[in-house]
Amino acid sequence: MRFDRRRLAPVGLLVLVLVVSLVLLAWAERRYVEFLETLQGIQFSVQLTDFEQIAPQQARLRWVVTVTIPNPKTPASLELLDWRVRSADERTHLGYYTTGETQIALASVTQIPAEALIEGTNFEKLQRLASETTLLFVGSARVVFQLPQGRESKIIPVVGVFALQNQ
Amino acid sequence: MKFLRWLVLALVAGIAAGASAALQSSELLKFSLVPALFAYMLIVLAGLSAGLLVQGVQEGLRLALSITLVGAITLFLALYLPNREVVAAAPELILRSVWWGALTIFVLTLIGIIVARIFSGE
Repeated sequence: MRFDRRRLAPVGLLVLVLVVSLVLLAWAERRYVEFLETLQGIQFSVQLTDFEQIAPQQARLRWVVTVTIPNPKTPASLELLDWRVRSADERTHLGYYTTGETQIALASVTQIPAEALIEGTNFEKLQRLASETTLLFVGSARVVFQLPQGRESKIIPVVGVFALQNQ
Repeated sequence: MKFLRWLVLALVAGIAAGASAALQSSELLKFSLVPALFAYMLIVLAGLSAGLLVQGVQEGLRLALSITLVGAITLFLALYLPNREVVAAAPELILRSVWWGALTIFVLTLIGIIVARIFSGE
């Protein structure tokens, strides 16, 4: 086949565009897959660490929310949203709580303390539930991932089950 | 020989255009190292370089259609492979991106080919 010098520049340009686009795509795909793996592997566990009555009509509950990310490759931060304490059958609502911290940087294992003061009518409801020991700490976590071209946030529902009598 | 040249050209330019179109898709844009404008520029450059290698408007138009077809398949695979489980349940999640990506590839490749043919003095 006869070689045409005039075709060298467009062929070179086409090969360059192919290589650049494939390298950029492979890089983006790798980050995307890592992000999906992080999202699928993220685990939450809620543990009640302390429960005490601090006043006649006031009780304090303390939890530790443990966020586990196996092999984290995408920088991420977390915010706990709309946390509520409910009875196990979800019929009795015992209050709405959020953490003081807004954005918490996530590592492979991150422990986030959460605290709730149950007082007034909520305290009375808690007393009425005395026979029902199992309670739910229900909420959601907004996980914000730092990506090369902006941020991606996902809201993940979290439920912690705990028993007051055992504490 | 002419068919083989056309096939190679359609495959190389189509894969380049499809990979570039995937970079500007809503799924991958945030994970890309480059902004969407750079991805559009790569598609135009693929069309431009392919346009310099063909003769005549009709051949250019046929090539633009072939690049779009190969590009759409490349784009579909780029979005489908990392999302196999999700797409199996809801294919419409990526079909919108593939449709818009294919349209983008066709329009930008055609612009590149037209510019190339003008440069060539046609």
